[in-house]
Amino acid sequence: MKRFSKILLIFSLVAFVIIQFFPSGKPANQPVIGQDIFDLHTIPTEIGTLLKNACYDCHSQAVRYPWYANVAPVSWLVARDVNMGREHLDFGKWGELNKRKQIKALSEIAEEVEDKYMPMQIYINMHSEAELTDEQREIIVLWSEQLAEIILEE
Amino acid sequence: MKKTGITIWLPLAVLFFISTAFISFQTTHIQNPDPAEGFAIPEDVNQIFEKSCFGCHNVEASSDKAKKKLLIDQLADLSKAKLVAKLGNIGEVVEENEMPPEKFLAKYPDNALTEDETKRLKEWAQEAADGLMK
Repeated sequence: MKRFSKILLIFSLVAFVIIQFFPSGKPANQPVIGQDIFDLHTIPTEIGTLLKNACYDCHSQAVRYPWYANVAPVSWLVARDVNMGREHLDFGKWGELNKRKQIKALSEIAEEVEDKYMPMQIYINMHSEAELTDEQREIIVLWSEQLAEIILEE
Repeated sequence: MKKTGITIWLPLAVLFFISTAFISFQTTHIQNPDPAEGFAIPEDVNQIFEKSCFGCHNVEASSDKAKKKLLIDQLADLSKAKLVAKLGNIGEVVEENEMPPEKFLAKYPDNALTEDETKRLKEWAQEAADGLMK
């Protein structure tokens, strides 16, 4: 039994080293000046902080990768989340959306945040600053509704 | 003493109710700043909705989830911005065949959207949203 555990440990270590050579596909940040939502709208400071802490690590071109995002297999999961996150909503490419799509995106933000689908629990577990109180969720919902009205009238 | 109590409290109570009504009116006004007045669903689109969507997406329907996503009979009560977003969602879910859901279609296969109906819904949703953006 002891021998089996030893073999298993060695095998796991070797496998761990080998998987580090597989690329994670972690996307790089490619910010474009003038395209980020912060460049295009006046975002209240409180909302800005909430967005940066709770959303920007998957939904922007300003992703802050923690050290463990370079270690497989975590790097694979991080890469998947950032790729999928940007596909759904990329605050860094906000200016590329037409007004209709911006309004739709804001409505989806309100819905996801209100229903507590976002931020994802796994992200909150690793980033306590991303945990939103009910009150903070409510102000994000209100902000997104107000910004949608502003965009519509522009 | 009792009479004095009534003379003081009655006007106060009336004032309280009036102010409550005023506050609730104000709140509604803020929540829905600019209802999409004059928004109407064309007859052919309405028929498609009746056939494939209305059963779950009306105020009397039983599924809270479906009702939260869309209430066809209350679309006109939404603010313009919310209506634009909702129309975008309608276009997206029909284009990606997410709606009507498979479970519903298994039970009511005749209520599936035809290709032409999907195309019409998508076109209408986009045109209506563009119209509201002007």
